[in-house]
Amino acid sequence: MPVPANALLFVSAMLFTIGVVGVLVRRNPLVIFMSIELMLNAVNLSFMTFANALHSVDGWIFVFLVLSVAAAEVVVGLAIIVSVFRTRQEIDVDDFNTMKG
Amino acid sequence: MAFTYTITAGDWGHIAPQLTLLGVALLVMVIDTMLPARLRGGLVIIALLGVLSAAASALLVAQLGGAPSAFFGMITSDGLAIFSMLVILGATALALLIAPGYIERQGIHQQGEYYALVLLAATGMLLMSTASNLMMIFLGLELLSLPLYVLCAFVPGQQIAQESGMKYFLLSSFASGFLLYGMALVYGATGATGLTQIHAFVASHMPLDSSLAPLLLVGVVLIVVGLAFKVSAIPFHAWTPDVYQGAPTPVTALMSVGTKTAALVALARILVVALGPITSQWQPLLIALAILTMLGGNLLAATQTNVKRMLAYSSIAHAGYLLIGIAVGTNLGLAAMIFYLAAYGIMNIGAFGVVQVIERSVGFGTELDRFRGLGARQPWLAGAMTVFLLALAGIPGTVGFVAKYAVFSAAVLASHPELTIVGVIASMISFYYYLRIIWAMYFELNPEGDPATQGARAALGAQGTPPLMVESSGQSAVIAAKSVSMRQPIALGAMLSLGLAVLATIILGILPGPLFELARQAVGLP
Amino acid sequence: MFPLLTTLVFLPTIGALVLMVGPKGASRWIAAIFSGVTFVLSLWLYIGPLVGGSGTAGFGSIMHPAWSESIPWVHFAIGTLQLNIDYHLGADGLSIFMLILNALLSFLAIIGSWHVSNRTREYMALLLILETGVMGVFCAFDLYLFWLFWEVELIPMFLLIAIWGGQRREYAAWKFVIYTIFGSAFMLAGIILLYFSLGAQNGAYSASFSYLASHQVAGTYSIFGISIASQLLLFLLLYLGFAIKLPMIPFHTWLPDAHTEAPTAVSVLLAGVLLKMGAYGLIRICVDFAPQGARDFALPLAVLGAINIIYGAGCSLVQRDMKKLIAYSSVSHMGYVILGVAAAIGPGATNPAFREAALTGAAIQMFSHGAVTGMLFFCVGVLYEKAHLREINAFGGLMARMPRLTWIYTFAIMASLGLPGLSGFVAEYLVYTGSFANFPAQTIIAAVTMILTAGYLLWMLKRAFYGPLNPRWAHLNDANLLEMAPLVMLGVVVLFVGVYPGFLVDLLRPSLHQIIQTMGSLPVAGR
Repeated sequence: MPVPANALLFVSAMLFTIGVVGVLVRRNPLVIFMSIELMLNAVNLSFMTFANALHSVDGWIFVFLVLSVAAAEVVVGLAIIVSVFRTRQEIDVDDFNTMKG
Repeated sequence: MAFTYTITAGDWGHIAPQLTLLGVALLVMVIDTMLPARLRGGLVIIALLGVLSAAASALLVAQLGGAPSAFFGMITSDGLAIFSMLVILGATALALLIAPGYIERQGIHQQGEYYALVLLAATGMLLMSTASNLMMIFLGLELLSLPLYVLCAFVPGQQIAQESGMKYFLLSSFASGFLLYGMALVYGATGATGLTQIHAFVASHMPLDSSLAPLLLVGVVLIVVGLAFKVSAIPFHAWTPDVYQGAPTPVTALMSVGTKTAALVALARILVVALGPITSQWQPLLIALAILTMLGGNLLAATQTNVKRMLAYSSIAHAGYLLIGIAVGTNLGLAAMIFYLAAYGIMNIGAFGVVQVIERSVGFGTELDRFRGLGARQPWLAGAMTVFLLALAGIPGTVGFVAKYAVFSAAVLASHPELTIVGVIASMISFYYYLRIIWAMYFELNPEGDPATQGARAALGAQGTPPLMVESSGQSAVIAAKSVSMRQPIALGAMLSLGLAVLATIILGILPGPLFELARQAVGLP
Repeated sequence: MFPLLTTLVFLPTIGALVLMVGPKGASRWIAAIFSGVTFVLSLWLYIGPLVGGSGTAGFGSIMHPAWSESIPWVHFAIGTLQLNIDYHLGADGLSIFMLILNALLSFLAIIGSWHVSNRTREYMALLLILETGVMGVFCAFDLYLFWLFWEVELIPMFLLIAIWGGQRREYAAWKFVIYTIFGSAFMLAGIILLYFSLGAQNGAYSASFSYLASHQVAGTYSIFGISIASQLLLFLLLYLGFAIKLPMIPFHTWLPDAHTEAPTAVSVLLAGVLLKMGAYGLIRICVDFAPQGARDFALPLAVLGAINIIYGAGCSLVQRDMKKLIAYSSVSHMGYVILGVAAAIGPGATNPAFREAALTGAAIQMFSHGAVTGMLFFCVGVLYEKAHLREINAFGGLMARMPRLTWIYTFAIMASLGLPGLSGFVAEYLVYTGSFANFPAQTIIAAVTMILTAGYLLWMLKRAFYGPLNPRWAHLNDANLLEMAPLVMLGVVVLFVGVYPGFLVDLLRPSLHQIIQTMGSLPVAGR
């Protein structure tokens, strides 16, 4: 029996919400980044569900785009996080307060 | 489902500007490896030529005409696209011109990467403003963001720059998540990702039934949220001041104009063009965003003491005026918005150009104190800054006035007087902080808080001169020495860039007709 | 035809330029000559139409001003986006008497500042530029031009307070500027709204007064989903700018600070003409261009006017500083203007004669208050120059040392509290007569306040000038001829208007008649 589309959408929404909450409450940039990835994958699940339900190919293409862009983001993002880690020995976003106002 | 689509030469022609920039970016990187270090400064010329040829090819695309759509409706090259491409390319050129002197002073050695990344970011901006499909909008957005993350953190060994890059990266990806989820929901509701197909679907399903409406509307809200991050509309603005302050100033200048242009054009395409039939549904959201952004941006800017940060908040405020153009939902509003974008590009890059001359290290040395007495020390620089600030404030005779006038009148003519009222009040608030800088440049001659003064005093004290002597007899000598040391050299490129921007600000302020006519034609007004 | 209005507006600026290049020692004389010539020329505004043979009707109204000059200036049209600003100056009765008052007070302010020795040249130049700005406000007949002059006037005023003021001068100057700019932001929003709404409605875009007065905006605006009558919104937006200048409670707090810190001559101009710009705007712009909106707002306006009168008087009672006392008395006296205007535009189906009386009273009060308060500030200025103090209780028995000043001060106070035979009485009497029919309760409050007014003014007089001489002030000299000159000239004006108000009434009648007719043609039921 195929999983109903509504259930998949619900899971996707839950995953997305967990990702958002993760970004908002976690303080380590790496974990924040992981939460963002979770959001993106929730979106991918939605796209696939819709593509399946609508018999449309656009959703599948979109998923591929999101995947490859996410990979590129990992490369750039991790590089920045590593370089930050090199100059300051802790990585807690609450300490990123050189600039104020 | 299967489809076949053969790509023709015409399709490639439509994205000639993007291809040109991409090619030149790669070329810059290759040449960089072959040049000896002392000649690498010449790379900026190649980059500039690339931007110019991209602009030329954009004009060529406009000239050739034909069907504006290419790549199976993924890309469009209509008037809106051409106009915004020219705005972005102009901004890129001005931002490139002010870069070399800055790069030298901040000790950035990887010039090749710098210019290549700037060109890649510009490619993304062009792609986003020509996209007519949700996928392309997303792709363009990411292509412009990824190089900018790196550019923000570009200055080596500067904590503030890395902080800036990191914040931009995290918050921007966060916003992308919202944007994507919104796109997914809109796709789910309409079954299409092309903007024309979405328009056709929505138009044929009016009024929306209860099974469709929630999905579509939540999707639209999420898309607006995602793009509002990019245009730094309040309440999604929190990253802007930090990132703008910490990024190298030429990058800030490019970001503040290019990203806004691309994101606003994309937002306009999605809302006004594709979702025009449900204007009444998204309009309150946009009006609220515009009002919050105008008032909040100006009020927050008024409390700043660092000029670079103040300009960051002022760019938030200008995003509010720009959003009016979309919020009114008319073609005249769009024309006013893209005219405003062109005007804003000129005056804002000019203002940041002056700031980069003043700036000592990234994000610091741009306090208001540093502008005190600039009118006496460097009259030309202060004069240019005055022109830009007056234009940003919207004083008649500058292009900023015409732009504000166009936007506000579009709001009244679309029966949204509240936007005009709030806009006018907000711009009167802005007078306060723009004029404060001008006041400091010309009327305050007491740079007590200036590090140069303290440094000179400390140096004199350390040499064993009695402090009293310094105070009495050395006073004039200290002041003389300081006024020499505080004179910032202006690189040739920056001079050219500032000169062009001043000329454009004034000439377009007095004769705005032709440019506005172009803007009107770009959105298809007769 | 000789461009008299342009000359009046820009002659002072030319004077300022001459001043800056002329010899330093002669700056007082140059300023006096230029402002004196301006004053003499301004009298021709009044005499000219009389000599021209058209009699008192010749002063004209907003539609047909006696004096008019127009040159196309900015015509910027791209499709539907049109910006038309004409350099359009005009003067009807309502403008003429304010123009003359401004010319007179500016001239006297320069005479009265003869003693200023700190950067005299800049000071005089700024006074002249201020004169230009105010002249422009009173005779601009294009709404955008009006706004432009309204802003131009701010700059010299700010500098005059900020550089030559008292101890808290920068605070006072900034407060003045911020309040005014806040108001003029709303005003500009109103102007743009009015301009485009009328343009879209009638297909012709113009901001000239005659066009705006002959076409009215119809319909409603929807603001955040709440629909509001177009004219009411326009009235409120435009009025906010004027209310701050007027000043109306609760936007009055800049006034005591600015008055206390400003140098004497600037206080005179501030009270004498700058506050009148608000009143002028209320009558000329708010009422003329949004009559229905004005009628809808008449009742709140009358209530606010009454509050102004009694609140200003109450505050005056407790002041210790003479300048502050006079500043608050200005708040109270400008309340009569508000009340008079409110009565003229009120919704009651009263006899138009009452309306006209109230409006005439309000207009005469503008003139009278300008002259009388000018006198009061000059007197305090003279005293302050000698004693370097304005504390009322610190003085006492000054009559013995300075009889001349005491007499003229007493005269000014009598005029201020509305003694019959002097100008204040005419104005207040007309306002009461006119407003009682429409707003009896407010009128009674205002009339009762006269007792308070007499109280605080006479009490101040008694404490400072009568009674035994405080030995601390035994060294004071009486006012000299130069100091008495402006006081006597203003005294003559006050007496003349009090004895023969007819000349002002004749001057104003055609302009005000036009407004009364417009108000009469509105539907009686109001909304």
